[in-house]
Amino acid sequence: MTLLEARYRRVLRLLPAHYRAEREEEMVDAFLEGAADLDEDEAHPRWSEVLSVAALAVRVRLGGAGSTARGAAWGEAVRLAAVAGLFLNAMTAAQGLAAEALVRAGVIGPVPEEFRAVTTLGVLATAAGVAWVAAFAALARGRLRVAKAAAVLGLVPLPVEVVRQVIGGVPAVWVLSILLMGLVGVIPVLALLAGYHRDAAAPRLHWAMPLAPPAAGLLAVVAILALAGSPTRPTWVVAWLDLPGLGFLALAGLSVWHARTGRTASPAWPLALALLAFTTLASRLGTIAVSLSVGAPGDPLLAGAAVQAGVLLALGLVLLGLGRRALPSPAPAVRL
Amino acid sequence: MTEPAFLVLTALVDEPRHGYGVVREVEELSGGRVRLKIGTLYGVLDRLVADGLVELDREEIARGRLRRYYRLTEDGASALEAEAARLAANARSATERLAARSGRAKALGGLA
Repeated sequence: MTLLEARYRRVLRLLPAHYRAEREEEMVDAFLEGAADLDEDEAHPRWSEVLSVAALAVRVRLGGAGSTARGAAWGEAVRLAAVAGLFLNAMTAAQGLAAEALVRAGVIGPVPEEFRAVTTLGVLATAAGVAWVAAFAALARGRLRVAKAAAVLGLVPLPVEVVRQVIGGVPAVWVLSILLMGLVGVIPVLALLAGYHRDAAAPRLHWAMPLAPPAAGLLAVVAILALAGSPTRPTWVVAWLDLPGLGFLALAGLSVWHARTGRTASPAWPLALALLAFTTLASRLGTIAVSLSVGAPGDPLLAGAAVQAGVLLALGLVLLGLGRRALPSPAPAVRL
Repeated sequence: MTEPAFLVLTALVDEPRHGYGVVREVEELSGGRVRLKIGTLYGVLDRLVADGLVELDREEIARGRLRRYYRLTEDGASALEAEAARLAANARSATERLAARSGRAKALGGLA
């Protein structure tokens, strides 16, 4: 075996075993025939070849052609996580935009800073907020390309913020916490890009669904302002109304709803909810890290956050277990 | 139908071909514009086999490695024919409108 062949076979390990058992030999044959002009003991497979195998691996693992029933189930779960995750991001973005508009219009005074979901946004964050709302609307209408482009735009403030903080010389734990909180956006976008591959059908949601995140966001802003506006506002509510707190409430609601109505054999819902529970847990740990670093033990805010983290971990593990048990057996798909 | 799928089906019209045979034929058909990566090729073949447009023709051993040849099915030929007719109709409309436009431009030029 030449070095080039060995390297290409290593790339093919990205593919699931059942697929390699079926295809590896002929893919190696086709690749080496096409690479005849390369010096076989020197060359590496081109990046474009590696990327094409990686894209194939994503499709095969997530329900594309050549996938097993198990792969199809994972694909459904990842797409569901993308839809639900984009909904949450669009909702919190709409909430931020609505609060911004109300402050600018002079309807309300500046919002207390600890309500992180409602802050005065910069230009970049405003643009990203619009992008999130547009991304969910496009996904709900089945416009996948627009949804993917808009969702990636929605992520732009994250690296900008990280770079800004690093240059500003803030403690490393803050940068880490920004990254952890950023996962709430990053994971659904990855799910969107990977789950809605070429072989996946676009979702067709109810025509009114694109309006749901702005409506829910507006409702949340009203609730937050009612609490924040009260002079005797209890500090502990903050832990339930910042971004991870709202994510927690939404996930808890969805899980209860699923447990009551969703007694179907499909593993997609529990797996998707588990993925989102772990993502929300990461962002919650991010806020806890910041609270601890500024040193406020015994803080009622911290207690609520810790309770959420514990519940999210348990919820995620239970849902993951339920989902995995409902997965089809890993028998290979019938091919050719 | 995506362009790679269209080109792969076209490459299989005259005879069954193996993986790299398809890559080479597609490159030639497209005037060197489309050079399929191996991962892309097998993604397209998986889809076409799943849809019943392409099927396995035979297996051979070449230089000690498995080589599979694929052929176009009847369904594949019909699908390709329908897609080719659609593309040809689009091309015809474009050509006719462009001809009418240049005709108008000439007429206007004559008036000036």
